[in-house]
Amino acid sequence: MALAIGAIIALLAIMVAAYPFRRRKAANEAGNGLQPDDGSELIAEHFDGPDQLDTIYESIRTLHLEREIGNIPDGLYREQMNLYRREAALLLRDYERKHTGNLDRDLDWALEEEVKVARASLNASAGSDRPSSSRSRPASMGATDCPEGNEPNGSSVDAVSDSAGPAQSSPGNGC
Amino acid sequence: MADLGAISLWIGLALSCYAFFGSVTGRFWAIPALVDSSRRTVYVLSLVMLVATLSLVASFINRDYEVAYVAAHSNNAMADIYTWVAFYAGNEGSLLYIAFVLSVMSAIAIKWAPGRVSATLPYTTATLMVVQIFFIAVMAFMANPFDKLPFVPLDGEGINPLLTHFGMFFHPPALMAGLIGMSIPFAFALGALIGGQSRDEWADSGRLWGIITWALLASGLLLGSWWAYTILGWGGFWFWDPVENAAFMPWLALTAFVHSIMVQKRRGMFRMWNIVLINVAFGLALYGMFMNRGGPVPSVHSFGASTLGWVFLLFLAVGVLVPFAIFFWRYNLLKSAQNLDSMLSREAAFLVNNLLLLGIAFVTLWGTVYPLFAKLGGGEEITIARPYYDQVNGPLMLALVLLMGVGPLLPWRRANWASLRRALMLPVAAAVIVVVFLAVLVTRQTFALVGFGLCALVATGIFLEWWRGMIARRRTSGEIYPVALFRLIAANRPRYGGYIVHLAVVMVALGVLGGSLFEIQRDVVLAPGETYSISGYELRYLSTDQTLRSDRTEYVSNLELRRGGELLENMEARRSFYPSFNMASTLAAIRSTPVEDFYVVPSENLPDGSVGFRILVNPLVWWMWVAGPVLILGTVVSLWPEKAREPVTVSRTAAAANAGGTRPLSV
Repeated sequence: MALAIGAIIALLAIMVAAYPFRRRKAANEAGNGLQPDDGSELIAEHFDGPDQLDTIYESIRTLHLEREIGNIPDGLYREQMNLYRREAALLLRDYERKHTGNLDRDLDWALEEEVKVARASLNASAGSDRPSSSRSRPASMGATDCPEGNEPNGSSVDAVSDSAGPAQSSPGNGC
Repeated sequence: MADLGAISLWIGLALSCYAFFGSVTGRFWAIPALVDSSRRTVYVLSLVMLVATLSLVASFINRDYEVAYVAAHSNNAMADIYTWVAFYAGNEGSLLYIAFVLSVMSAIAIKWAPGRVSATLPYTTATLMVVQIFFIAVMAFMANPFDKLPFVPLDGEGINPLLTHFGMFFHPPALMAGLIGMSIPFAFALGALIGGQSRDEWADSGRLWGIITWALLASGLLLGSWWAYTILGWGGFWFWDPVENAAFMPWLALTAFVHSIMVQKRRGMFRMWNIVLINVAFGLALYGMFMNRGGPVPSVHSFGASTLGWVFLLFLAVGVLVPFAIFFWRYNLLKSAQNLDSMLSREAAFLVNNLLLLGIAFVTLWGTVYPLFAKLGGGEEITIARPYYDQVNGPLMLALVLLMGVGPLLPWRRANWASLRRALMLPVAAAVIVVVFLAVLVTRQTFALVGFGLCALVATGIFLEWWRGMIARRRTSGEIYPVALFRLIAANRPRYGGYIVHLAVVMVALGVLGGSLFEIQRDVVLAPGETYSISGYELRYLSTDQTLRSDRTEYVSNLELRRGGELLENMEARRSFYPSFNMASTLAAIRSTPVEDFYVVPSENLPDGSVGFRILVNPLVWWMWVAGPVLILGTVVSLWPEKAREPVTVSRTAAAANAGGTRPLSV
C-alpha cells in the first residue's frame, strides 16, 4: 500500500517537473515559439525603475509626515524634497528612454512646440520679443513641478538640468 | 504509514537534488524550461514533505511502537493532545519538522518572489535546496524518524515530562521555524550576489522574510522564557544557558539586519553591510542548531542523546565559509549608491543600533564559547554565568533602549539639533519625572533608575509620535481622533508597526528590569496550616492531595494567598514524579498582575506532610508575557500589504496627443 502511494507521488512529481518541457515542445510543434509563461521570465533581467520610483514616493510621503508631526524643520524639508525630486527626475528619464524609444523624441518635439506656442502668446501679451527655447523640460517635470505650490524655482530647475541638458528658467508662477 | 513516510523522505531528497541542479544549470545555460521545472519541483517538494510529516503524526496517533521514534517519545498514558509536541520532542522528529517548514517557506518565497529578483531566483532556489538537501540527507542516512525496531514493544517510553506544558505547543516550533526561516532572506541575498545583481533588488524580499523570521524567533524566545518561568521551578526566565544563547544570538543579528535593510531599501546604502549581517545571522542560526544537536554543552533545551554534532559542525563551517567567499568574490558589486549625509540622521542611528546589537551578540558568543576554549586548552572547567552577562551586556542594552527612543525621532538623510531637541523635550521630561519619582519612593539603584527612565523616554516618544501624527491628520482631513489614528497607522504601516514592536520591547525591558533587580526569593518549609509572610502577602499552606496516575505520582499543594487579611486567591502548585524518567517536574502557582507576580512552587514533599516551597515576588514580569501578542501585532501591522497604486492615465494636450496619444504613467 505504502509503496503504491509512494509510486503515485513519485509519478506526480515527475509529471509536474516534466510539464514545462512538454509545454515548450508542444508550443514549438504548433509554431507558437515562446509563450509568455514559459519560464523565460525566470531568467530575464528586470528593470527596476518603477520600484525605485515607488521607493522615492515612499520617501517623500515619509518626509511629508515628518514635517507634519514636527520632526523636521521647513528648511530641511525643502532641501530633502528637492533631492528626492531630482532622483525621481533622473529615474523617469531612464524609464522613458528604456520603454518608449522614439516616442520619447516625438513627445519632446510635441512639448517643445507647445512651449513655443505658449511663450509666443505670453510674449505677445507682454508686448516684448523674447527668444524661444531650443530645449524644453520633460513632461513629467512639467506635470509635477512645485506640488507644494510655493517652491522657489531654483531647485526644481536644478533637478532637471542633469537630465535634460542646460536648464531654462520658465515663465509663469515662479516655479 | 511509517513506510510511506520513509519513501516520502527519499522522494523529497531526489526532488531537492533535482531542484538544485536544475536551477543552477538552467540559469547558467539559459534553459528557461529547466528553471521553470525546478521551480515547480520546489512546490511539489513541500507536498511530499507534508506527506512525510503526516505519516509521522499518524504513527503517533496510532501509537505505532514499531517505529523507534514513536516508541521513544510516547506511551499509552500520553494524552492525544501531546501528539504534536511528541512529534518534535526528539532529534529525528524535529529534523523532519525543520525540513517540512523549510520546504513550505521555500515554496511560498519562490512562488511570490517579486519580479525584480527573477533573474537571480534560480540561485536563490539552489541555495535553499542545499539547506533542504542537508536536512533530508541527515534524516535519510543518520537520523531517520521512520526507522523500525526489530520487535514491537507493548508500550512506549513516554514523552519527556518537561514538555507537557502549553508553551511547548509553540516555543520549539516557533524557534525552529525562526532558525530555519533565516535561510530565506539569506538565500535571497546569496542568490543576488551569485547572480551579480549590484543594486537593491533583493532588499524587499530580504526585509519581508527577515521580519517574519525575526517575529518567529522573538515569539519562540518569549514563549521559551515563559515555559522556563512556569515549569522549571527556579522562578527565573532566562539563565544565559549556552543553548538559550544560541537562539538569542541569531535574533540579535537579525534585529540588526531588519533595521539596516530599511536603509538599503530607502537609500541604496549599507549593501555590503547587509550581506555581512545576513551571513552572520545565518551562521549563528546554524551554530544554534549545532548547539542543540550534539553540541559540546548539555542543556535542558538540547537533544541530549544526539550524535549528529560533527555533521552540524561541518555544515556550520560550510555555511559560514562559502557565503563569505562569494561575498569577497562579488565585493566590487556592492558599492553603496549614496553616502551617509549626516551622523545626525536615521541612517546613522540604524548604524549605531547595528553595532550595539552585534556587540551584544559578540559578548554573548564569547561567554558561550570561552568555557569550551578553556577546556580545549587544558585549563580548568569554568562556567560563565549571569554576572558576566549582566555587567557587559546590561549597559549595551541600555544604550540600545536609548537609541530606540532617539532613532525614530530622526528623519532620513539629515536632522538638525534644534528639531531633535524639540522632539526630545517631552520624552526627556517624562524620563526625568519617572527617575525622580522612583528615586524618592522606590530605589536608588543607578541601573534601575537609568533603565526605567529610558523606558519612559521611549514609550513617551512613541505615544507622542502617534499623538502628533493623529493631530496632523485630523487637521488636514477633519477626521475624528480614533479614525485619524487608525488611518494614520494604516497609511504608514511599516513605521507604526515598528513603533508597536518597540513598545513590546519596552514591555520586555520593564519585565527584565523588574524581575532581575527587584526579585524577592525565599525557600521555606511549611506544615499544613502554617502561614508565611512576605512582602505584604500572607501565604497559608492548607494541604497536599496525592494522586497516582499511570505515568506519574502527582502532588497538588493547596494554598491560600491573602493580603491585609483579604483573600486574594486560592492557589494550586503541582509537583509530579515520573518513575520511568526518574524525574520530577513542577508547575508553579502564579498570581500575576501588572505590578508584580506572586510565585510559589513546591520543591520537595516531605513524609510528614510538610512541603518545601520556593516563594518569589517578581515585580513587572507580567509585562514580558503581554509583550508577546503586542510584538506579533506590530509585526502584522508592519507587514500588512498595502493596496497597490493604480496607474494614472495622464491625457496630454492636443499637440502632445497628436504626437504620442495617451499613456498611463504609474507615478
